[in-house]
Amino acid sequence: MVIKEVSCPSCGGPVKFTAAQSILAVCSYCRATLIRRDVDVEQIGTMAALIEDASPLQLGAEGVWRHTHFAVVGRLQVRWEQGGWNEWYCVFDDGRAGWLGEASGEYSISFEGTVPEPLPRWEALRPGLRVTLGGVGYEVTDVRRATVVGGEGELPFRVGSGWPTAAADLRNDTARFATLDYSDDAPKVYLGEMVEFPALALRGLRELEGWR
Amino acid sequence: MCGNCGAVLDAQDPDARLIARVEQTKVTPLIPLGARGRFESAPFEVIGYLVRRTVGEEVYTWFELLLYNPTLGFRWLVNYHGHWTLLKAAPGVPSVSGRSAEYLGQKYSHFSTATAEVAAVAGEFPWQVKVGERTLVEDWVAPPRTLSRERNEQETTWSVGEYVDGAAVWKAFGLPGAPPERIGVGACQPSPYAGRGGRVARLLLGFAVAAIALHLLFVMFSQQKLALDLTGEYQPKTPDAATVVSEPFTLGGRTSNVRLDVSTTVANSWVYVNFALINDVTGVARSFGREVSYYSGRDSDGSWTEGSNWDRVYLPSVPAGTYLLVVEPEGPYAVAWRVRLTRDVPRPLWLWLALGLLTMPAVAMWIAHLRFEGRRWSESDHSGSSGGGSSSDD
Repeated sequence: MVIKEVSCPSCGGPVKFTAAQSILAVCSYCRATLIRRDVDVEQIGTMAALIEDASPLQLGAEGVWRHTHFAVVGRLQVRWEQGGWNEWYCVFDDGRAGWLGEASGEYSISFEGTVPEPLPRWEALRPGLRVTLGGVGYEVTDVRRATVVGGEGELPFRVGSGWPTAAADLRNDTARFATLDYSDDAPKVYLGEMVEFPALALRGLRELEGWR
Repeated sequence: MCGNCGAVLDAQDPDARLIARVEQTKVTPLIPLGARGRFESAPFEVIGYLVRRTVGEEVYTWFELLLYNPTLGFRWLVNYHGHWTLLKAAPGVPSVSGRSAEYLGQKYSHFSTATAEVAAVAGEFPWQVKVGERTLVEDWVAPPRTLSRERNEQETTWSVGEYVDGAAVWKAFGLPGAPPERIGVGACQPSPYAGRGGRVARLLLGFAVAAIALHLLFVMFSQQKLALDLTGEYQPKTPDAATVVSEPFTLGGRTSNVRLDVSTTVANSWVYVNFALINDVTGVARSFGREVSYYSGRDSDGSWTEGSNWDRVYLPSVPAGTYLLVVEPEGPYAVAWRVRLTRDVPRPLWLWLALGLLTMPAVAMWIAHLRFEGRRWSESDHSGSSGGGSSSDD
């Protein structure tokens, strides 16, 4: 499955690009932030250390969603004034790459996509607002500005510590899930569903002290 | 560090200070922080404790314990007046219409809406909890289940939960002693009568079927044999000649009842008939009288009738033997009459009595159930209209 393995230009350690969609990788040894080029990688900076949290997930964990095996290859950690959450970047065996969102013990799986409907303006978003995405009705449940703490492993876009984010989460009655990300100029749409953690049959989880 | 509690750490602080840890020694949770209990057959640890209260004229205070399991996430164990509810975040968004909410095919009724604030906090949370923080809390119930929506300017959180018996909470945590006494009826406390309704109904139905079968059996094995058919004419001018004595007749079979039907030609009049059923061998007599009266007419309300020109009597437990019937009418006008005795007639009255008795426990249970629901809804926003409770805080 490994598409590309390079040596970190900073420390010489091995750095993997597992997903074809990945353009950024953080060296697990020296935290150098590397951008993939045609033949080589370029270091654009150094990623700040992530906040130690209680997530049972870690890079290398594997699970199954809708009968498709996936591996956790990257992570984006975000925080706001009173809390934080993780977006785990996952590569699926069918070639897709998506996100396993983790916030306050709730999990979601979503993939970047496009919808025919025009997206609401950021200023118009508030919890309770009804939005139709791809013909499916959703309700906004969370509108939040936050800050990127940092990343690890592989990621499909450029990102750095301290970058601001602005995103809204949406759900519907059948636990479909969507994120509208207004962090960049053009808003991005992620579509998926809420998932129960045990249903993902995850292996390679982090050992948490005091819990078997 | 803090890998077992879900606490958020502050990255900007070199000591990785917990941003969501609030120590408040004044607040003593009913179940200690760090205690582990089994729910959903998995261990959960008490990591946080909140005291919350409504903001407004009427202040309700309740307690929330945050439970944590690294893979199953968070649960809230909420205690109000000795009633416990175990809640978790709802993955989907329930749909609200009017006074009800629907989630996963289940309909919930609105119970209360209030602004709640954090009165005290202890332990650790996945986000920073601030004292005084306010959210709009709305509750819907479908006992034993409950739906809760909490809203502020940034987010809407739905949780779905279920009533938990205090004893079950104590057992889950292996706590000594007994849980606090319950006060009143909990918002989503299941009615002790609701669950049993079906079972009682089935039981009663069984008894009713048995009673009907028994009645049918009586009908099948009863003789229903006409033993005597006697007619006569009464003239008030010759009352002595009015007495008619029947020929001896036989009442056969086992000791059973005898039905007497008397029909007359009375119209806007009455006749009183004395009967005597006399055993021809022993001379033992059963005497009784019946008044037959029938009136009809027409007034401003239309036509009316009162009484009827016939009557029916059952004589229970008449032994087999040869009998005579003496018929002795008296009255103001001439009247023709006919008397028939029928041996061994099954009486549907017993069946109706039995069925009536059988429905009594069901009715009693239904009343108890309504009273229970009344107490539940008396605590809600809708105490005036839907529950018939006593308080009114609409």
